[in-house]
Amino acid sequence: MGKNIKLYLFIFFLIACAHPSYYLDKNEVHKIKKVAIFPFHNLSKTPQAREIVTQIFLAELTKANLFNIEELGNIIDFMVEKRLRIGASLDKASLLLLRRRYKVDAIILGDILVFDERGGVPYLNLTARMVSTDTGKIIWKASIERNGEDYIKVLNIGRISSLNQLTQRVIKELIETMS
Amino acid sequence: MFFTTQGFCAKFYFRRIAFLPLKNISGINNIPQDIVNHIAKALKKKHHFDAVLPSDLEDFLLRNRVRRMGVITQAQAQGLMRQFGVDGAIITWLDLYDKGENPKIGIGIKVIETSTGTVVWGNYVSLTGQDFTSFFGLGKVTSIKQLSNEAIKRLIKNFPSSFEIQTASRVEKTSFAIERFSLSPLVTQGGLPVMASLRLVSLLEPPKEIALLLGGKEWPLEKRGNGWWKGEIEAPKRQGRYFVRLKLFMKNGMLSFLDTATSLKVDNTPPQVRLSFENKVFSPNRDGIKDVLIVFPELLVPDDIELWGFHIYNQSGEIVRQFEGSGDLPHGLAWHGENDEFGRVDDGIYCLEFRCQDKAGNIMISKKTEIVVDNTAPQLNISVNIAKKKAKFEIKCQEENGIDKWQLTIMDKEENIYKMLEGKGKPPPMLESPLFEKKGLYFIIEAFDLAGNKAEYKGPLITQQITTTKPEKKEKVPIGWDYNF
Repeated sequence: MGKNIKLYLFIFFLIACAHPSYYLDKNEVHKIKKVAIFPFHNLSKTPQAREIVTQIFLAELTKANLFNIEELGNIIDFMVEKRLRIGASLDKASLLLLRRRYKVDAIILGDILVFDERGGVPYLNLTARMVSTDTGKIIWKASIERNGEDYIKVLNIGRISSLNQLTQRVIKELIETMS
Repeated sequence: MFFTTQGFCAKFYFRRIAFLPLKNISGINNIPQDIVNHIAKALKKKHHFDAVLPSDLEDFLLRNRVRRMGVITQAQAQGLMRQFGVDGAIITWLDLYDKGENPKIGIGIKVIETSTGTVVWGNYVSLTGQDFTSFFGLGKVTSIKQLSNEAIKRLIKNFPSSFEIQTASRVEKTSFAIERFSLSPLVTQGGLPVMASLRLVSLLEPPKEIALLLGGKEWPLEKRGNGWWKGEIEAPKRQGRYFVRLKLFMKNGMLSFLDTATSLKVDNTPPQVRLSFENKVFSPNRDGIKDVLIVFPELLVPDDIELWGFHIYNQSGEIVRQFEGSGDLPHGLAWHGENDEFGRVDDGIYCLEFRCQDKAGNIMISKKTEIVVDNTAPQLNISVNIAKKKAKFEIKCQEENGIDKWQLTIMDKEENIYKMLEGKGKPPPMLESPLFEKKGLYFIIEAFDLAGNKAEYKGPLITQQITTTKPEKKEKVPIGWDYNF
């Protein structure tokens, strides 16, 4: 019995400590001074997920103090002007235009794959990538899938019951892989 | 503002901050409207700056048509700076608000530096009543008001007294911001007129005159109200892409230049399209063979196609069918031999013409390609002669548009094939086949014309054999019921 508890604790510890899968070009990311965050592409069934995730990502990235960040309003205006759909990839000309107009070195695009609650447990699956406006190459890419019970340490302690709290936690983990 | 000794960062103390109305993305309608005022009050108490509250911004938001509350453009931020003298703008949003037994709240904040439109600080807090529960359920927060106060407290706890801003962005700070710039059209032929429209936000004094620089020429823009400037220019004659810059003439005689990051494409070359066809001669009779003409247009040089059309003419030069569309060329187009009234066209020769126009207005018209609609099967006359254990087939075949292939098959009633001859083109006038010692054989001769129409001639081979060969004489065997003996 004692052995089993130890095993469960070990598994919980492993899950809690599991990092998001990511790719990072360390040489390139150091050159990035200013980034623009594009509205996340919402593939989940929750309509407001796009705005919630995008705003939390912006707030958390600002808090992380890794880059200067262009405000979303300019980016949305740019998308309207260039008739860019949310989730569409940007061609080289658009990237260069962003670089010239807003002086951004990279843009961040993301997809929300899952954003919902199942049986009172929040579930979230996100992917995000950073693309250089100079070369069009991917500098950073990460994906993460978590639910509220992934953070239980012992006896239900650490369990996340709110989707918004989980979003913040997950985005923090994603951002940690940038440096 | 002062420069630090560390690197090239400058520290700013915001003296006056505008608080934009709360953006509600929680999906709940009944949220407290005074959250922003609470945040403003708490921050003001802590950092001693002037606060411009949402109620003071109503006129500004209305006049500048600010509809998206959770975000702000650089031009809007600069407008706030100009009108209210604010150094920063604070945007707050509420994405979770639940008054239930286990109350929940999610609230975010971001600070935007008004001159550059850059986000300089942000935070997000999400709490539930259960987060405060200790052993035996003690400490649980059940009041949303208490939870909101705690969330606001945590949200602004680390609000900095000063903000670090990269000097690079300060150096690039301009006295103007382009809110809108457009050329219409963006792609054109050389020498044609192009309309330019600009809305410029001036931080200090608006320019006296503005000229548009393009293709080595300078075009003055006419001043309209509310920061708008308009003008008509002539597109450069030479094909190419031209970037547009603005030259601003200030009242004090100074000049300033702005890059619009917009380009004009001059295109004088018509689209180059190659057409390939499948079944130029076809029979739209729904027999499954060559029922449809298919045209494949292929763009040889990349071009932005605006309009395209396929027109089918009869021999009198009248259009019987037309297919038109806009945008990219179709991968293929099928004509089933119907006219524009969805009736079937008569057999005959038709001409197909393809036209397309690119976004610059260059038009390409293809040569007319002849196509043939033929629903008439070939005429086939066969006569069979049996001689010397051979069947000789004399074939007369007539078809206006040519024969594609033919086939002779000898088979029995069970469709077992005894002989098969086939070939391309017109069948030879005479075909020979050995006779088989089998009764009840049939022959079938088929001819397909180029349009896919089939002519078939079928006949019994055994009958011919019986009629043309001499029957063997058999001696009569006396039988019991032979009454002739």
